[in-house]
Amino acid sequence: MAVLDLDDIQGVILRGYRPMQRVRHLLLQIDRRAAFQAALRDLSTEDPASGPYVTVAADWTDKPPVGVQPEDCVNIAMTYSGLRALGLPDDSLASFPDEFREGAVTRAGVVGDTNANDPQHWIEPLRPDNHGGVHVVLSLFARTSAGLEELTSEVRARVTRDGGARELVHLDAGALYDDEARAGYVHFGYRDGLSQPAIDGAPQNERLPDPLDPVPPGDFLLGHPSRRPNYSYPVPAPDELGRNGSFAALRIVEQDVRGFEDFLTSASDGSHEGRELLAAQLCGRWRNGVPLVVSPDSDAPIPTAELNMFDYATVHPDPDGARCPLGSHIRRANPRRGPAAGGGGDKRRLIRRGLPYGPPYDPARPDDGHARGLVGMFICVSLRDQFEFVMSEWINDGVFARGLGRTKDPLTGNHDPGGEFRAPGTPPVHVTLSSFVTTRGGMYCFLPSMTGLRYLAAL
Amino acid sequence: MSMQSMQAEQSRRSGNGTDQVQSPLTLVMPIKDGGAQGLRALIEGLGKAPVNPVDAALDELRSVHFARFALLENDTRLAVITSYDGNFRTYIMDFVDLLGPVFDQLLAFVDDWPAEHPVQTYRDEFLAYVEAHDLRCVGSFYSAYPEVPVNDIIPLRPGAEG
Repeated sequence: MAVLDLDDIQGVILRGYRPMQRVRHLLLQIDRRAAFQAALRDLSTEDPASGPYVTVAADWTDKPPVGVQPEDCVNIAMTYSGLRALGLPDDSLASFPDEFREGAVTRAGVVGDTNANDPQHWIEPLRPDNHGGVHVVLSLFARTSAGLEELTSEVRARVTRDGGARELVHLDAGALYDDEARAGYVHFGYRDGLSQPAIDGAPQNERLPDPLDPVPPGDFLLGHPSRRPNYSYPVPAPDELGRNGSFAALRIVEQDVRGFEDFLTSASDGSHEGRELLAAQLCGRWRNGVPLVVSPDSDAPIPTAELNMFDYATVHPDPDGARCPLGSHIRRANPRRGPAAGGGGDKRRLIRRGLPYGPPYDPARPDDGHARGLVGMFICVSLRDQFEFVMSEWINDGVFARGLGRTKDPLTGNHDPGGEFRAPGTPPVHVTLSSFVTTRGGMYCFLPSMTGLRYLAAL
Repeated sequence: MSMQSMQAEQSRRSGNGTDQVQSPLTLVMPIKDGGAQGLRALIEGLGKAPVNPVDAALDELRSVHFARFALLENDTRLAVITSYDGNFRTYIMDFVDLLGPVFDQLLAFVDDWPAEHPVQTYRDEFLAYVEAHDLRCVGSFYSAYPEVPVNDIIPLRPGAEG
């Protein structure tokens, strides 16, 4: 088993923060480098006397105040322009991967951010004419809304002190429901976030085990062996900055809930059963999270520990998609051990840290004027080989698997100007699709280690 | 990815009037002086093994339609000629995972690849080497079924599963 320095690694990479269902991402621009570096020093010092500090992956209760479960968590990420604003020398900047240096606006065409998803339609601070304007993403997680406000006040005061940084915008998200029965449900009515990679050497998710091999830490952390034979991803220089860091694609994705619900009605026979079966075929899970490959005919609840216990190969084999369509959302985002071009579908894992924004959809008030969606991070060691690959080959194309042609993910693909979804059945399913989601923002970020944060603070 | 290759990728994805999924690779590499005999023996030996490691790797990769080796210009050049699905750059990591050790053996006979660089460790360098030595094709690339990927051909084989 890999041995990781959990005290050096930011917590958001390796932990799900399950008790913290309120998040606020502060998007900052550094105005005065020295003043912001002073804030960065405080944020990377594990002492409550100097204010909130960055949460690491080690056991929280061992952190000051010792023995107390924290009410909140703090994490910090930098964009390429942020590293430059912090004074990182050119040779160090040049050692970062190309896709990170180019950023999400430049890479938009690779991941399907075209047409309605084009960066020119994103939220203002992330649009092409402001490219590089956001330097830092400070992610604040809390158990309660009141706790989030309190944490925000403290952190805001600290990072803006002496004109260090200015806040360009903040992104709020949080669980739609507070009760345990509806934990994890998102706007299209599905229970989300059930599948996360198990990382060798990291705290394990014992609630939702899966039958896949644990992923070597080098698929998520710089400076460790990856799953690729004889290969570790290059660590940006110097080692104290790059090692134990990771990368993240921050995404703001708006969801057209009314459009989706209306589609389920018009594209099925309109009955409750017909709508729910189509919803399950599009996703690969019934809306309560029960996987189709485990239970193709019924959404009757199964034990939590079985919600992730399938791989389409040896555990619930389904090579042809007879039980769970090959083109469904979960077989694209994570084909597991099912057949896929490239030697299998289990080589491109992503850690997902996302929460919904906007109030729960009320079918009685479909035009309430509220925007709804998801904001979150896809974390990986290589934005090119993991995030961009999944988006370009599996979500927004179909050549990787049998019979999908050039089709896209029915739920999250870019179907502007139009798409289709097919699934086996009696009769077979064949529906035309429009886009149910629209990208409202994207950013490529670097998540430094604690050592890396202190290095940046001391530049 | 360079801007140029990114634009090519975007052009491919936009369809550009065709749904062609296949691409040609015409990798031509200079053989070390006196290396042709050993190289020929190596390649013939791969084919005589109980399981040809190239065939096994390509079976697993599921994106290469055809592949062959040829020696050109009086045995001074090694050519690797394939037709494959998608974008070579996109699948380079998987290609190297499966074929890195075979290429290490082949590249030992090539005079412009540093023999002390195992392909699996020097992946970016290997990709750059392949792109620099890939002649692709002159003019258009013909396929009888340009829109059909390997994944859709395999199930058509008699007795095929998956």
